Amino acid sequence: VSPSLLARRVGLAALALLMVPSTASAQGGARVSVSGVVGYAGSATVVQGVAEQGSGVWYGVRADLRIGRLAIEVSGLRGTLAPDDSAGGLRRDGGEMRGAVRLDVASWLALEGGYAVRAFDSPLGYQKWTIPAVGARISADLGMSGLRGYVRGSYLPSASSPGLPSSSLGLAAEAGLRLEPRSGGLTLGVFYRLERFDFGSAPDGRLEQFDLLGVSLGLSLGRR
Amino acid sequence: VKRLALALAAALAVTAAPLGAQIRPQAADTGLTSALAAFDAADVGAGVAALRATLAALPESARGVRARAGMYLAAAQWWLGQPDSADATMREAVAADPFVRLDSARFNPDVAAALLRARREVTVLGVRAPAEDTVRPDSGAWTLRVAVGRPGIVRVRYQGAGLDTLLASVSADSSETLRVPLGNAGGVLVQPGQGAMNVQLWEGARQLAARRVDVVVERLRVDTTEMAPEPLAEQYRVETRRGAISAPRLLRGLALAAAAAALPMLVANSSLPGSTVSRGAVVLGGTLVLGSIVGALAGRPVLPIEENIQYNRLLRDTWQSRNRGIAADNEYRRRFAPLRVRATAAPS
Repeated sequence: VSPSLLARRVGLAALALLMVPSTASAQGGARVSVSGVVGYAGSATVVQGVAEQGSGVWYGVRADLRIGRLAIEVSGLRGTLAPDDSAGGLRRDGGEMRGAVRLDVASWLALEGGYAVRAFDSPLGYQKWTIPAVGARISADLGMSGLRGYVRGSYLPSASSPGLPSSSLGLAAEAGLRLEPRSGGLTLGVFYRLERFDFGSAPDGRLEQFDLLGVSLGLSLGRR
Repeated sequence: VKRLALALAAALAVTAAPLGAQIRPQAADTGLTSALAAFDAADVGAGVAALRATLAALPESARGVRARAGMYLAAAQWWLGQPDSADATMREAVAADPFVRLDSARFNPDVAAALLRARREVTVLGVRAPAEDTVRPDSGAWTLRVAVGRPGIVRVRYQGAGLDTLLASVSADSSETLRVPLGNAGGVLVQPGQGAMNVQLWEGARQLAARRVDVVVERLRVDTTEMAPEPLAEQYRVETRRGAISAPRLLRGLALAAAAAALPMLVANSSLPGSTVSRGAVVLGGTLVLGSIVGALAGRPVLPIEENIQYNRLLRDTWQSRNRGIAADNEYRRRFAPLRVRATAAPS
C-alpha cells in the first residue's frame, strides 16, 4: 500500500463519516466532526548502534463520530521525513491511516482499541507497518465550555513490518487539547503523539520512535 | 268691554304686571306686539283683532309666533265666553308648535287648566335637535328637545350602520330635554356613518307620532399618549458576578498538563536521540497549562446578585406597568373617541 493510496483510503473513510445520516445527530447525542490536520513529525531510529533521525511536515484529515458513549476516530496523514543531518540518511515519503474505537466508561476515562497502518517509501524501498493498539484515555473538562484536555496511553502489541520480527515492546503516548463547542461549529485542537517500538535490545536490537506535534481545525455537526 | 278687558288682564296676570309686559320680550312680531299693547290698554277687541290679523298674515312656517299668538287668542276667547273657540284655537296653536309654552304659573289657574286640557287633546310631537354636537360616548349625551301635546312615552331609536338601537326613553308631559347616550361602559352604541334618530311618541303599545332626524356621526381623532421608552441599558444594574476560580478544576487541569508533559517522556526511549520528544511534550504540557488557566478563569461560576436582580425587576416592572396603563388609557380613548353628531336635515 503506497502512501498516496493510504491517503486516498483515509479520504474515503472521512467522506463515509461525513455521510452518516443526519438523523443520527437529530436523535441527540450524535456528533460528527471533520478536521484538517497539519503537524511536524519526527522519527528516530537506531539499528545496530547506528542512529538516524528525520523530520518533516505531515498533513491530512481526521474525522470523528460520536454516538452516545461510543466514539470512532479515523485519520489519515501523509508527509515527508527528511534527514536532520546532511551527512547521511534518506528522505522518506510517508503516510498513515489510523482508526480507533473508544468507549467512555466514565466522564473522565475511556478505553480504546485501534489499528494503524503506516508506510514509508524511500529510494531503498517500501516499508509498511501495521500497528494494533489498546489503551486508555483520561480527559478533563478545563472549565470553559467545550475546552477539554486529554492524555492517552496505549500499548502497541506486535507492531510489525514485513521482513522484521514483531516488536518486543510498543508504547504510545498522546496528549491533546480540544476546543469543541457543544452546539457544533468550529473545532480547534492541538496534540502531541509519541510511539515507541523496540525490536530486541541494544546494541543489536532495532529501536524506532515516531512522534507528531500537530494542530487541527475543522467543523463539527450535532450536539454533545 | 272695558270691564271684560280688565278681567282678561286680571285673569292672564297673576302678578300685577300687564299682559303685554309679560310676553313682550318674546314677541318679535309687530302684530303680536300691537295686540299685546291693546290688551295692556284694556282694549280686548283691538287685541283680539290684532291677533287674528297677525295669524292671518303670518306664514305657516312661522310656527313659533303663530303658536304664541294662538295661545293668547285662545286665552282671550276663553274669557270672552267662547270656550269652544278657545279650545280649537289652542289646539291649532299646539299643532303649529308643540313647544309653545303654557306658563301655568303666570296664568289664571282656570285659563291655564283649560288651555292645558286643550293641549293634551292634540296628538303632536315636536323635536328640536342641535345642528351639530360633540359627544363623549362614555360620559356625554346627545341632547334633544321634545314637546308633546298628548302625554306619552318618547323613545329615541338610532338606525344606521346595520343597527337599530333604543337609546333613550322618557315620559313626556309637555316638553322635555332628552339626554340621548351614545354609549355606555360596555362600548359605543352609535357607529360612525349616516343614520337616523327616530323619535317616537308612544301611548302604551300604540305609537302616536314619530319624527326622524337624519344625522351623520363621525368619530373624532383622539390624542394618545406615547408609550414610555424602555429604560436605558445604563439604568440596569449588573445582575451577575463571577465567582472564584474552582481550585479542584484548575488542579485537575494542571495535573493533566503535567501528565501530558511527562507521559511522552516516560514512554520515549532514552537510548534514542529525541530532542523533539521533550520539545513536543513541553509544548503540549504548556498548552494544557495555559488551557487550564484560561478554562478556570472562563469557567468561574456566574453568581446572581439578588439585590440588583430585584432592582432591575422593579425597574422593568415599573416600566411595563406604566406602559400597560398607557396602553389601556389609549385603548379607552380610542374606543370612546368623541363622536360628532351632525343633523343633516331638520326633523321631519
